Amino acid sequence: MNFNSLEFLIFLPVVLAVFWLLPHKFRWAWLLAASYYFYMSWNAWLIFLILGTTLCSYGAAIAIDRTKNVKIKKLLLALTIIVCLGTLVFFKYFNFLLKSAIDFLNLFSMNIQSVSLDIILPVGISFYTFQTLSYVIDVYRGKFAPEYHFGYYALFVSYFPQLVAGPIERPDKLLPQLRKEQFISSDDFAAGLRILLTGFFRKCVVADVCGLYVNSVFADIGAANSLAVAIAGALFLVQIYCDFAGYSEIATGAARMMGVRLTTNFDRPFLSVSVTEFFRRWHITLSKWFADYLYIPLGGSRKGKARKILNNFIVFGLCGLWHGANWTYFFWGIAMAVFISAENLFGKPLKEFLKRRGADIESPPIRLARQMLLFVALVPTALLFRSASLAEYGRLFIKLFSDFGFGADYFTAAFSALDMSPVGAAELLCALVCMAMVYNFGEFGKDGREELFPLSEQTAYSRGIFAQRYSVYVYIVLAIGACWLYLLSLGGVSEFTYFQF
Amino acid sequence: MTESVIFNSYLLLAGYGAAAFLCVFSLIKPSGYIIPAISAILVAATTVAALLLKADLLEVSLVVLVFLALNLVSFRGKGGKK
Repeated sequence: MNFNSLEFLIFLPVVLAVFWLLPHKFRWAWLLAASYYFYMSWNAWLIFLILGTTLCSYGAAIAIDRTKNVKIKKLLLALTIIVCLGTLVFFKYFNFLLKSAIDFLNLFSMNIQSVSLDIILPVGISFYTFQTLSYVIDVYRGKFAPEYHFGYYALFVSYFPQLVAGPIERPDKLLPQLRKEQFISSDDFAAGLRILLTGFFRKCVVADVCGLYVNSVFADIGAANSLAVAIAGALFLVQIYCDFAGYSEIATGAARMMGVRLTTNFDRPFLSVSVTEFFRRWHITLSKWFADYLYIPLGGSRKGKARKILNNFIVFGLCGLWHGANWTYFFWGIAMAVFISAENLFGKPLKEFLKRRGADIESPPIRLARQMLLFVALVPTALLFRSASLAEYGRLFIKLFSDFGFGADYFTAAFSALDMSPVGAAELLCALVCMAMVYNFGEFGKDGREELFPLSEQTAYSRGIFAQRYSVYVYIVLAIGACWLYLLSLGGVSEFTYFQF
Repeated sequence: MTESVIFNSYLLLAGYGAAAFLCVFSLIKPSGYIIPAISAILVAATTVAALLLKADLLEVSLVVLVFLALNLVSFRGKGGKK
């Protein structure tokens, strides 16, 4: 059941209606049942996997809390990590590791035949595994007491809005909210609906339309020239952002309508001027997870520059692999580590050099130029992220830097490779302009920085934007509807990209 | 490329044209909530008519997005803190 499917449009109102009708003591059971139903709509058998992970981490956290012996605590923690990560590795990486090992051995003329197991990749396994791991590690670190109510803990692991693609919530933030008695609030409900709307807008109007053109280039790389590949890379960057930020917003909006505030997962990443800043704004909950449970325990930046760079490579290599069992993801992570290490090494001296020359690198035009430069620098890495194999990326990379031209034929060939009509190009341009306007003119609140219109009705009225606000809702709904029907007419709406991670 | 339904229908052109006029008018001369509301209703009704006349969905969404962009312009400098 995708968020952008008809089933979800029926499922969510039913869940919300029953949730608010039930007394508080029964709500957790209803939400847990709804969450399991939501997960089972992909594959009913995989519920046993999530139940196993839940039981294991629940029991381990209580045992860690109860025992006074430090060695046993450590042993229990290690066992839980092995079981949880072992499950993740088996389901997600077993075939990849096996194939990589066979390919490696065949380099030495061992001539081993390729084999693979028929393993289903459970939806969202990376997300809920990381969430359960953070719970057990935080209980071990003594940050908070374990949750003794199995129902609430199971709900924390499988809470349906964020179950399959995050945000990766921390127990100290989500568990108290699930436990707290919620009272229906028109403010929360309206805010949830607004966030939901912007999420659907990003997904249906921007991401999926971008995806059509990106897919055309990837379907026939031979027909594409450098301009087509560059546009496909840029569009993929926008697509993956709108796809994932859209998912996060739908999750946040759905949770908000039940009175739960999920962590903000994106904070306008394309306004970043460095890769370091980009990762502080992009998939914030995953970046923080890696920082808290891997980067800092490895020594972070406390053990000298060389160690910091090594830590960056370890963290980003693993972060890349977290996205999928493919070398393209690993090398994408390594590329990011190269960027960040270069920034660590040369960023400060370069800034000081420019300052001595009297350049104000924080002035708005220079900042804009830096933002654009970063976007351009990220395009080749976006293509790597999208490629099915390193060989495919190699072909794209060669195309990107070789197949140039200047005449009208060059531009016509690029747009035909993208399968982009003038109407399609104009639609996309308008959608991107609207998104940029929401970024720059929107009434951003303190929480949910990308939320549309958190102003009160009275304030909006006094500022003369009361009617426009409702007009905007009408236009957003119409645009979502038209694009959704358009995508359906082409063979169905696409899945969210991050579901596969 | 298929022929544009919107550009070949006087009804749709008149509907969107009137809505655009009201929208731009309310941008230039802010005048309460009646004019933007009429504009939005006109766009919604014309869009439904366009869909019934089997206009290309991408074309319809383009027109709607233009109106969305026009409306978002009115938020410039009026957002910010609660």
